[in-house]
Amino acid sequence: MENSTKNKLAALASHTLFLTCIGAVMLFRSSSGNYFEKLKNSIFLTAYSDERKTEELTALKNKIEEISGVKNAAVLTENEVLEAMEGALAKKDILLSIKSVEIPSLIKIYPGSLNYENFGRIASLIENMHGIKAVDSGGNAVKKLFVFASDFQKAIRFITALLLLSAFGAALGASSSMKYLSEKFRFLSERAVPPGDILLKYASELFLIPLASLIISMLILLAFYQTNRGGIMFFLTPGEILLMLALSSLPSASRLVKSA
Amino acid sequence: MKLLLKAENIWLENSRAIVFKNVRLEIKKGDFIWLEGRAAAGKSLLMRTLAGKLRPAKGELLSYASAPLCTPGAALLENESVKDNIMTLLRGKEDSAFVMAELLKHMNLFSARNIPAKNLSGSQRQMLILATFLVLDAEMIFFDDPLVPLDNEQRVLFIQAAEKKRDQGTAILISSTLACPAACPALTKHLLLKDGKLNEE
Repeated sequence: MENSTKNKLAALASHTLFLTCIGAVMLFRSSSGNYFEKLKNSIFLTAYSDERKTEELTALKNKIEEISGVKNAAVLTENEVLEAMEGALAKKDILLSIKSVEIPSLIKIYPGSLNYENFGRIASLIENMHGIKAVDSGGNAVKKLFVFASDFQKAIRFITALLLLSAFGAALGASSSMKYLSEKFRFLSERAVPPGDILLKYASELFLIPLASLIISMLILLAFYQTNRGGIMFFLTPGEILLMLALSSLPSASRLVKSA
Repeated sequence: MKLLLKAENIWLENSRAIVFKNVRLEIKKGDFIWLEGRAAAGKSLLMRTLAGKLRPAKGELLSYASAPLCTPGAALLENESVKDNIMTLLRGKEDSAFVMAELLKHMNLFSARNIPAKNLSGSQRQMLILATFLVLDAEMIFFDDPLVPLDNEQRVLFIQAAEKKRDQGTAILISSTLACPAACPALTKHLLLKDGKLNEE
């Protein structure tokens, strides 16, 4: 294989690896952020109150929201609870039997962070508040959810670090794979070849290698994304794709500037 | 003859002293100029100034054509063969293969045409550097101290190749610590740079 072909293939491979790693980092960051947001919204405390008046319930809600670590609280009055049940329950006779029971008002409390100790502290503080009958923190199932969230967060951090490390290595590889270009630029500029002619002569290396590697890495990321279609994963935004294009041109651009 | 470069009383100073002063020089198409001077006489700085890489402190320098300057440390495509180093500069030109073969024969590099530049001996490497400048389509070419790593036979080969280039209309300016060799063309303009002054011999 010719030397220049080898150089081009090495440059293409290292650029593709670099962009795939960077793209995967972006994909993981945005998708995991979205997943954690969903997880946060599914974890809440339910406080039961015998209060019936809207003003009293609102005051209680405001008092709960003042507790540190509470993101927000939502009040569901007795009627709202019944309406919600009407929508959810198909058999009206069940509902009729429920109507004979006195239904307490509900306050849903969302924590600001996924920290189980904090969650427990908030639950006990609310439980001791005047006007609160009981607090349901979800028991063992919610505790397991916290453990899972913590482990998942650690895994995401580890994968991100690994991908960033690989991206850094690949960036070094991409930069060194373009060394032959900087040698050529210097060779030609010393021989008074105009910069415009140099750019034209090596346009394919300067523009096609970054562009081709971007397309290949996009296809790899798209194939990965397809395996999770309908799941929690988000594909890259146009802004992120543009950022990747800019990053892909960095190794050759830096060589060009260095040898100018 | 077409005027390619005109230097009118140019001066160059560095932090310690005046490198050269009142240099007057005209380079015309087809000139063959030999610039002699002792080591550290300021030849390289004068060449760099004439090539437009340094700005003179005083005087006027008018250059009507670009002048590639061949320095002892000029870059080569280290991993490319001798042939490819030349072909990189000839790409897209007519008869490039013929021009390349002729030049390599003149410079005694034909047998080494497939060897990567990094594997050449010191003198072969210098011959290749000189060949990559002689192949250029420039109106003037400056060679700064090109003879040092070469043996006598190679020096004669280079001067003959440079004379051939001059015959095609390119002005050649060569600087050296050596006196103008007998191999130089008959109408060679011989200049001497001494104590910062440039005189024609």
